Amino acid sequence: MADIYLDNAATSFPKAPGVSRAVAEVIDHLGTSPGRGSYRLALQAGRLLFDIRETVADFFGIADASRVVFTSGATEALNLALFGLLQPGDRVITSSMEHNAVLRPLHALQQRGIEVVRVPADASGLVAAHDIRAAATQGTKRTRMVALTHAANVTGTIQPIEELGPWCRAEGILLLVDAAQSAGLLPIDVEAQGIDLLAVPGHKNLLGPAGTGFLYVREGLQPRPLNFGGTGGDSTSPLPPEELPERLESGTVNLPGLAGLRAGLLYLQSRGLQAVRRHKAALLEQVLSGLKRLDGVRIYGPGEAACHAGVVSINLAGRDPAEIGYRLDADFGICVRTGLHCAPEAHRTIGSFPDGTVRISPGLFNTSADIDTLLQALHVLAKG
Amino acid sequence: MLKSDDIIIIFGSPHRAMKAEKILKQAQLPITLIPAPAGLVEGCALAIRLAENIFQAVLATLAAAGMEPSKAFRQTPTGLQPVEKAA
Repeated sequence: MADIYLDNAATSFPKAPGVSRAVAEVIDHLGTSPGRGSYRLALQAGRLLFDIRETVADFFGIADASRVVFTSGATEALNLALFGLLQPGDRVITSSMEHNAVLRPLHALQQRGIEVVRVPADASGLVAAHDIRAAATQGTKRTRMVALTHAANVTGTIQPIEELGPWCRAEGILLLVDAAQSAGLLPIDVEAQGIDLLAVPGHKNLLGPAGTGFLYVREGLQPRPLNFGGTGGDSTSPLPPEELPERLESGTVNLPGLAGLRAGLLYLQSRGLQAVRRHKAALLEQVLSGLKRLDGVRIYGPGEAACHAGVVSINLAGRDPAEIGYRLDADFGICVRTGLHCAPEAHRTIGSFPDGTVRISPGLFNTSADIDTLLQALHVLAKG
Repeated sequence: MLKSDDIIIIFGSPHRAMKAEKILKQAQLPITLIPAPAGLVEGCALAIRLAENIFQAVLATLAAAGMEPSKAFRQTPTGLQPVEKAA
């Protein structure tokens, strides 16, 4: 029984063709540390890192690649943005659909005197732009930041970033977007969408290895570093340099992983983002229409493929989602994630707390036949 | 590493040095990325070496790309001396 992997919201699997080769190529033939020497191999590594940064910048409409700060993933990028820019006394607006990668840093910051306002989403997981605007402008205290997911990781609900970006820019409020579920799937252009800070994992829809990601930092912003250490130059200075990206990249960068990330990006560019989106939307449409024909299945979220970013959450009436996940794996070789998906507030919002849901997240390399198998399996399980 | 009258230009960061190298090589200007000589490392351990006769072309090419070196030096018999960057 071959496994059918439908947990791409956690991490994509398999990776794009060429990713593992790109990683191995660096490890085997370019295993030096970029920016840490000036012999030819180190310069070659530095040039590769520069090229990767430019590839990433180009993919997301970022004019100046030096504003792309590589991190270990979206979690570190979000922490860097939140801890690096918020000060005691600031107010930040967020939503009830956020992942713990946003909720937990904000909780910690709340304990340091930062006011956190959590705007509730509706039952489909959608956060209304006017509710964000109202929360950001109420009272006399100025709002410093709106921190919002682009697509909720539990329901896939796509949030109105395009509407909020220009408004935040006009109001002088920073917009931090958690693109964990959207980067590589939905169009993102930081300039056009008015995004000041964009947190992106390399290992999900961008099809790169785990341990990669980045934070885009709009020009003019200067977050405090999370990590302090060597940056390869000006060693006598007691503090990191002012220049980005080095200021925020102390320590040795994960060049093998980033080379794999670039291979993922190049693959996506060769397939075309629209074609990627079409394929995933077709799979989601098949999932949703099939689920709607099954008795006793509750679908969370908008219920229309166009409004889901790669994720559908369900439950079978009266059944523990953990049991459904176990049976899908043990009896049918289908990998899905069950439970709270590191987003407890999202489950409270959609009414699936505390048990959570069964989350189905097809990837670029899943087929219609995979979805047929899933639906047949759920049909069997729904019967008892 | 340096001979008399060579010019070196330095940047505030490795990223900027790499970007400058790319811009100048695309413009087919004969430059070389080298370790920044001791005492000149300002946020970056790299420098770009070039011959004096292309110095103005290098500055103009970088300026057209919105780049400017943080400092420039000429190798003299008594060591490196600062050079005015203005073209």
